[in-house]
Amino acid sequence: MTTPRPLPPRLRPGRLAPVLGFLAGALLLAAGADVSYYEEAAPSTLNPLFARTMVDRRSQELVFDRLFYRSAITNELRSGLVESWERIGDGRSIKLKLKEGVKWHDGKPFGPDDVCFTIEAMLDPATPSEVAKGYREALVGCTAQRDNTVQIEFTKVYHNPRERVAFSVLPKHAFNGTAINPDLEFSSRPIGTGPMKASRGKHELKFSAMKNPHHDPKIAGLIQTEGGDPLLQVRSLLNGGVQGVISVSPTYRGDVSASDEVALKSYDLRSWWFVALNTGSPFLRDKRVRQALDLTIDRMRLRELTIGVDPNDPNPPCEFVSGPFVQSSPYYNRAVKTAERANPEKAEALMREAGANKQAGRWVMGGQSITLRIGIDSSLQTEARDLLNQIGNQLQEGGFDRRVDNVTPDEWVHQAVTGRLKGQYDALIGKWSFGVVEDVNDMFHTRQGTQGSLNIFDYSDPQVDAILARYDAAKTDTEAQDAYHDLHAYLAKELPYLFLWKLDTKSAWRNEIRSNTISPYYYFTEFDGWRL
Amino acid sequence: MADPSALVALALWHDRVAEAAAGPDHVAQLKTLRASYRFPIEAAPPAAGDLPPELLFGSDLLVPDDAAFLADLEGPDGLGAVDAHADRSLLAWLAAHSEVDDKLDAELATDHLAALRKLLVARSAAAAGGELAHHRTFADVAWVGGLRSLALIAERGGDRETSGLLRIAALERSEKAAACPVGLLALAAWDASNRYPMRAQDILHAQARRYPSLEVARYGLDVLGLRVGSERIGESAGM
Repeated sequence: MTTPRPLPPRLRPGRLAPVLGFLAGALLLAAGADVSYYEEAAPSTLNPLFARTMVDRRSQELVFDRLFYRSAITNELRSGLVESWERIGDGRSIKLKLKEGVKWHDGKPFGPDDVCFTIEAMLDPATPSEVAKGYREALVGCTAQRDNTVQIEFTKVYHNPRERVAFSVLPKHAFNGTAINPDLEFSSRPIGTGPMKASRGKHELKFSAMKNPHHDPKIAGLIQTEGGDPLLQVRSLLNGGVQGVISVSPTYRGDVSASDEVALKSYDLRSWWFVALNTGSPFLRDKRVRQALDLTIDRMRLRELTIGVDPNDPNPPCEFVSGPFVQSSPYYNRAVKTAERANPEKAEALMREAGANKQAGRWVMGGQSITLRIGIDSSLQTEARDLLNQIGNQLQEGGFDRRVDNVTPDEWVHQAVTGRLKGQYDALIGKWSFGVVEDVNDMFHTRQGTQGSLNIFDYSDPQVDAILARYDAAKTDTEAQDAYHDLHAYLAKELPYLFLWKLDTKSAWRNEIRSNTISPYYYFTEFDGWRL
Repeated sequence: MADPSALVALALWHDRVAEAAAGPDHVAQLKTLRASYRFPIEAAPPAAGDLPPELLFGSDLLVPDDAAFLADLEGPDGLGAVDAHADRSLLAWLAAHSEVDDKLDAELATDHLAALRKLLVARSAAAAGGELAHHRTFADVAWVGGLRSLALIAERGGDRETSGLLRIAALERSEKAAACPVGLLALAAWDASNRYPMRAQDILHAQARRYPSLEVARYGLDVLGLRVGSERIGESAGM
């Protein structure tokens, strides 16, 4: 029998005590202060029915409760508002017993009428909400009952009905009717039951803690400021000027990693970047011109210059994509190869085939020199430095004249994705972000009725619409996957978008902020646990 | 490629090759080393005493008795192994000193490991007469390995929440040399068991670039991803 060998003296437990004491002392310094952080942009609305950007969703998550949500750690389905639930009747209805004593931020009591009002507002055709679209397919109606319960009826029997009612609940008393307009004052002065109450300052959004039976936030105040220069954001974070940055530019992630005062945090979000092409503009109507543009862009060089990716990094934070999905997605069609390097010879051949000729190094088509008007969602340039000019330069080198402009986040939300910039731009650079749901129908479907609501240049192709209809009608996972694989292959040839890359989102928070679990997609779902 | 038994067969093959390379005198130590990562149907091996330092190098274990502690933890002693090993296993000591109300506390455990990392850097620098780049690398490996091992202890106590917090804390520090593929894939498998496919798919995709045989796991995760994605409402694309 061997004699137990003691721990080496240097690692004996008692040696850790002074270091732990120091850590605890350092943490006490920050207690009681407001916490400031940089967001990618200002939210476009605080009404959850009209959320369009990820900034909107993150900000709203602080103010509102979703009826059910998933734990950021174990993925369990939970609720802050519902005490118990049961299926009733033929299985198409559920009964929810709500928690007692929950109050809205204006002090009014929360109850069954609010849950039913939210459902009725979503079902009201006069509420122009994209968010409500999915719920309209699943929900029939709602009945509020006296014993603090609600009965919700679905269009069919779902094996997981609670998943279908994971919407943010709105206060009935704050509206005049179920037809809710995005321009109402509520969008900037919301009333929720979430852990924080929001108020807009001159240059920032302030959140103040609101205690409730189901919320006990430990941080008294949060100040959200629109992030500008990524270097300044990181410097301010490292100096303690702010405590958090939602999206740290890949260029500066090394500086953050090297600091003992700050931690990089993963944020599960799938984002891919693109250049949307205006297929209605005179030069870009011809597919060969779009293909030539695709071959003119040297993505490897672009990534190196704008994101600072080392070309020899075997596991870069930024991976090229050849279609509208990230490579780890089941919808990504691996048979479609990515274009990493430019191919000027092939691009030139395609341009000549399309009837263009070069004069003094510039492409001319139909007697007119090709000048592309290119815009970018300006908030992207904090993640990819100078991306707009670098793309412009590459196109210029390929013989395309260009005029470049920044599009403000507000213009991007209200004009670019709603198709209103098609008269002003030939190309727009943007990114789309997804959680576990990767539905891209609204980006590529012909804009008609409720379809194609995110179609930037009103791209329209009956074959694409047919593929998207197959996806919508899919009864099995395989059918849905096959439809999107076909879509990927088709779009990679038709090129209404030039697909660039996916980019991991990393946040950074100072170590004074403790237990700061970041939820996938919604970010602040577990905010109650955050503390100084 | 949908058959998971291909993955099991690959894992068993690696085990056999490792055992053959170690030789009959060291098979028991190897089994002890991988006690925490055995298949659920496999019985916990009896602890084979202290591991030689060369088996600790770059692993999730901090001191020679840690493997025996984790093996005992997986056996009939369960959480009783924490107190039994606290005087010789640093992991057991960390677990014992990270308890709040008889439960492993993720935050306290994370603080202890952060302090250990600082201590390791300071001691390495003192021994070498100044801090060298690899001191932080090895301290990071110990830090992340400690987090992962404490996650297993929480799991053994049935506390999936704490286990998850520690696993995610380990992921967030899994940079460069500290990015252990086994630990990352263990997190992916844990996520999949929670029906959360997104992070698992990302981890698998990144690791499959280095280890192409992992592609066999992609199909199962894809199916889970498709199912879960089709069940959610309200998570539309954001800008």
